[in-house]
Amino acid sequence: MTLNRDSSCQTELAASLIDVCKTYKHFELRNINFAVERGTVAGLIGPNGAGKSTTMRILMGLVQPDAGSVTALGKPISSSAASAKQDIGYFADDMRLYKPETLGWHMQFVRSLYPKWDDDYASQLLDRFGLIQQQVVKGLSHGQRVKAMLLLILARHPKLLILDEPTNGLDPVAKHEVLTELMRVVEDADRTILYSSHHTQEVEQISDSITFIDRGQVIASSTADEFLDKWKRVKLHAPESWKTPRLESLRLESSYRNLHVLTFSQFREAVPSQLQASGAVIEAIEPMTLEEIFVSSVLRGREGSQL
Amino acid sequence: MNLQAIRILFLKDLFLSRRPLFAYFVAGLGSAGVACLPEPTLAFVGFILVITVAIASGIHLIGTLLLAETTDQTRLFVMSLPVSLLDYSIGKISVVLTTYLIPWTAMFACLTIANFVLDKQGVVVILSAIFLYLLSAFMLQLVTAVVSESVGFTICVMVGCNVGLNVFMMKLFANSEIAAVTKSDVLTWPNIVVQIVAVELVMIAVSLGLAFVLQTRKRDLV
Amino acid sequence: MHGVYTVYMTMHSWITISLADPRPLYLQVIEQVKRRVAVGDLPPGTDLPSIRELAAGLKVSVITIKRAYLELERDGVITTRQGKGSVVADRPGLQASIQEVELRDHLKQAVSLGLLLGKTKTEMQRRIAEVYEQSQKVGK
Repeated sequence: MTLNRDSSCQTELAASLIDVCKTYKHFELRNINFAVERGTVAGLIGPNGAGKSTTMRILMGLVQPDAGSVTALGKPISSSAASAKQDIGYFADDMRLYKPETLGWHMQFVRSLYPKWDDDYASQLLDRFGLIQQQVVKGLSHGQRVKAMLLLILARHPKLLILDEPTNGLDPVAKHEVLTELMRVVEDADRTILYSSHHTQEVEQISDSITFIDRGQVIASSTADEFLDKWKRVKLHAPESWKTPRLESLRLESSYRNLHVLTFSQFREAVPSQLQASGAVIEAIEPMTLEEIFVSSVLRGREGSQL
Repeated sequence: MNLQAIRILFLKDLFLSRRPLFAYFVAGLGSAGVACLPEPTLAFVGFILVITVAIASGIHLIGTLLLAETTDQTRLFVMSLPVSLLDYSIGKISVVLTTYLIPWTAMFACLTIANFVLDKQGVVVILSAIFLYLLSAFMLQLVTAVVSESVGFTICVMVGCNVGLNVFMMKLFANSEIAAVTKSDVLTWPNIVVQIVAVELVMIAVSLGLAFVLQTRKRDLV
Repeated sequence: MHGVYTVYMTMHSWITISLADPRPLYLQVIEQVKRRVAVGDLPPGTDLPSIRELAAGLKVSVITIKRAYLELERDGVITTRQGKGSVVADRPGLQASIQEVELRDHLKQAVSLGLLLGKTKTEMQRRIAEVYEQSQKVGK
């Protein structure tokens, strides 16, 4: 991935990781190449322990990679980078606020570090999220705590938001409130969101680009529409002697007696005729949901690595 | 290095520890007062209380200001703010040291003044040796906490220092030269005490430097 | 996690997209805009929200709205002015033509199904006349 030096070009990157590697005792992040375009919403989907959180922490300078380069908003990132964080907002599910103190105290504290803090917007957010300044953090429910932390981030209008599973464990109303506010960020073409989630439906809906990550590696990256257009599931009947033809984009197959289910990652017009030519009778060609596509990609990736 | 950020972090931690700080300050002065009572048993009890306050405040402050940030994941929150690791380290170590020094100085000053008033200046010699020992022990615990990020290890070091303190005091009181000076109303510094104090000061400086260097060398903040 | 989409509607003044609908979101947006124009809710020359505004309001990706607007423009339903956003096309007979296309699509579907079931042309015509008369009665 090349970084574009022309600042007027629209494909300027809000964040990039080039050949990033990080080794832990029981886990390894290998050759992560990942970029987020400015003004977009980038979704990151991966199972637990895939490396989503580590990748985002590396992007924030909280973890130092063993190799590779990291930039955010055009500036290189390392643990000594403090000024870059002025325009970046980071949220992680395991982040905590100071329990004995109030939300109001936290707002004052954060405000003292950010000249761009917007008091009016902060009040609006208190209203929209249904939070009270005087409330002590210890007494907040999970959903309220998440909203409180997001308030502390959103009120300072960051140019880049890095959110690690922000909607985890939120009730539908809280989720709606949070997504509404996050989508407001989208209205500004200069602001970018990178977020990770288990909820494939939500990611499919709001993301401009979607990246799958599993076991420390990026396994696929594209737009929702491309994924949905290209992945298809084909159900067919075939005689006992039938062998699956070697087709280029065939990713997975399963069978029960003479009913076979083939999953394709780059379904082309020619595929049905090729299958029919091999002696199979096609019963149905079905689209797949993003969740199914994701699971198939992961299973395929793991299978491939075992060969 | 951002002085503004360091100042904000320093004041934040000072504010967060306001209650225990106040409690130790008051307890410290109270203990020092009891230690100055004429009745020997009470004075002894007071003396033990003073030592207890010094040790307890150290462990408590290191625990809440330094170690808790790791276990409570509030450090993740702080490091997501526009502060560098250097800012964080300077702010953190200086505030832990400062909060410890508040009750420590109060007690040391109180006892020193009391002894001057009671015309027992000589006692200041032993007081200095003991108080500086307490400060070095604290610094040692601080370094341990920074390196190990473990409450367990830090408490081990504390226990070790505590045992060491008792042995140290025993030897101090047993020393005839010191005993002689203690009883007088003139403040003279025997060589041995000067040496002891020098070693303690060096230990304090080295520990401080070590804590600082080791904290800033950390690459992964999580 | 079950594979069933929960019914959940998002509203942005005059467009609703539904996650319960299995069709791609951009198609829903296109269809909704065409319907509003056909029905007359959006007269020619009406300003449409900017791509980002609509994306934020509906909580869908910008790329989805971009695609929808692109196709709407290609179909002549909207026109995009450089730097000034999009408006409903000021084309005479736009409403009628959208409705025509919709009718034709429905008829196509009916005929395809008829052919599949083996109906002849006369059968189909008879069926259509039947349904037409029934609707007239209900209308009164």
